[in-house]
Amino acid sequence: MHGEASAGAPLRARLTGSVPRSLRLDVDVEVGPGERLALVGPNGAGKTSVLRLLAGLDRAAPGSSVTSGRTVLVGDRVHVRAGDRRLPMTFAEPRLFPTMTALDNLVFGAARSGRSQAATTRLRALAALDALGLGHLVGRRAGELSSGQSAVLAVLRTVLTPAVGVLLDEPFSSLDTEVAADARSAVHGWLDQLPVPLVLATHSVLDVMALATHVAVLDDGVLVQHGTVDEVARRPTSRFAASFVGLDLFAGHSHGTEVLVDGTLPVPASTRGDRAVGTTRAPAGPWTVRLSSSTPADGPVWVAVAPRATTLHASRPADGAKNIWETTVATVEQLGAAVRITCAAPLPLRVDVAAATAIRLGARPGTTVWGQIDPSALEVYPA
Amino acid sequence: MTTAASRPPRTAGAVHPVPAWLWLPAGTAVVVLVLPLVVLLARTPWPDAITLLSSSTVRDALALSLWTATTATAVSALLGVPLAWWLGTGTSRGQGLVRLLVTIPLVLPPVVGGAALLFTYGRGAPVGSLVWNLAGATVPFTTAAVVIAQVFVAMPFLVVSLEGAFRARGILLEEAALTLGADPWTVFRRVTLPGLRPALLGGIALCWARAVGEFGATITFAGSIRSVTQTLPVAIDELLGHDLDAAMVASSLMIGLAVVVLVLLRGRWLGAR
Repeated sequence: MHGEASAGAPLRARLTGSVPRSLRLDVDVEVGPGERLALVGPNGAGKTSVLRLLAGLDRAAPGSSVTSGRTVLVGDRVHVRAGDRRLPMTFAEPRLFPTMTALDNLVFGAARSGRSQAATTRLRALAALDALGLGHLVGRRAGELSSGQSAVLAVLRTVLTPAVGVLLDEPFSSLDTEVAADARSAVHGWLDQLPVPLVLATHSVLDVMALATHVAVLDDGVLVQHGTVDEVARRPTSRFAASFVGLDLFAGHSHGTEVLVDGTLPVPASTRGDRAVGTTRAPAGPWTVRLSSSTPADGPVWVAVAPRATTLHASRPADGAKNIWETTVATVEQLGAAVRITCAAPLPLRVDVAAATAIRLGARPGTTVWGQIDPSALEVYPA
Repeated sequence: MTTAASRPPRTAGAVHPVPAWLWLPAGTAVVVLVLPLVVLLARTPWPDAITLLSSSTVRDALALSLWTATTATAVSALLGVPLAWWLGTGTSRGQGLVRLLVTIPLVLPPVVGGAALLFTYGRGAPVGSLVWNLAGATVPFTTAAVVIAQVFVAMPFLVVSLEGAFRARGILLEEAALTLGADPWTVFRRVTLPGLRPALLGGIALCWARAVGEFGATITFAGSIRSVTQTLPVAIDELLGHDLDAAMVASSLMIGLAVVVLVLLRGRWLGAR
């Protein structure tokens, strides 16, 4: 969907901070053509700031650089204006131009690149609207569209603009769940075919699953993990990333198949090399539990546990079973038809069980239970 | 522009939370504001209106007023829209000070403005002597002086009303347009101005109304020369001395102009207000 100038260069960014937002950043990331990177992280982690710096809407702190192929967009003493970067952006609000028609909005970006570009884009826009069943909206003023239509058209407008990369900032966060699902499936095909890098900031794991190939986890301005969606989902290295994909994460220390798991909360959010977790020493005490794992490792490790991996028992299971520890119930809450039990020391795991199981356990805050986990259900990996 | 929509609708028959005795001062206020205009309109000798209006004094003054006010409004828009844009969306230091300075004419007695203009553009004055040396022309007591006086007094209205609109809109759409590859001038022309149409038309109407009614600065700086600087308000002042009937007809005419501007301001073509 793009002009020839956009053909396949990676987008590379080293960002040290945002001047207007007085925010320090430590982000060094490269997104290849056709790759779709999801930026995730807690509120205020810097996702939007990163996108605005890439787009050229905010000025980057010294030492930053953004390049597309060999073209420098930002570097010391270089600041290519937003209008010249060819990095169209979609915002958390659709920001369609209310005084223009839907079609004029869609071809706005292409119209900057000459007449023939505008003409072909017009055809593509019409085809895309037809495919969505929105053909009747062509001449409608953007101010008269529904929020779902606006969100989809905002992404379409960005995708139809000649670009070296595409930036999406939580494009569906303002929509209801169902409308967001429709919008997501509407744009999925277009994003799939993008020949250029895409960076997407999001709070939604559904966005990541449907739209991204890679994930970058930001915490307090620092890029703490960057990998494929599968890598990050299987082996998160921060509490945020773990809870984003629904896992509990603990620091530990491994010796062969034996792992001492440190249940102390909170686990340090960041584990980039120099900022290693506090588990170089072997931990011991009331917040430590000795488990065996089926993946041998040595030294400091992360231990990720899925909420259905643990079994809870009202009494100590028969001798010979592995990975058993005594604990008490901390909290009990409803989760659809299931019940989520959070354990107290030594391992503050969240365990999802059927309501019937919770009743049989007599699970109330303070109830004594025994936890048991299969060695193969522990995801143990170097920290 | 959207605040009205967020208020609960007021319906007839709803319990009114205002104490009854408030109607007394409120009614008095209406009388104070409306009575003089009604009396003026009532005493105007309408049967002679056509004759009086076609007298050369009133006719010349009306023509001069219309075209000087229109010129002054055009100048105000050309200079004032960019100023309002900067004041409403910029982030520079010193904006507060500039805003204060350029709105002084709003609250200044116009005659003081006229005196200040005289001291600036007069023959011996800094700008005045520059114009004399460059063009061999004097500014005071010319039609140009009328326009300058009107711009000085009326432009702040345009700037203040537009600045509020710029501020309320923010620059969200402009940012989007920039990332889509538009240069700043295209953004301003295709995105900012169309979005600002209602506020712009409102500001222009206000500015024009203020310019057409300008008296104090005009008479001080431009005087009262028939067909050259004698605008309708200045002519009314002169007619009051010797031709009350003509003065009343001309005054009624100005009331009519004011009403037309108000109707246009509230009209639907300006968008919901």
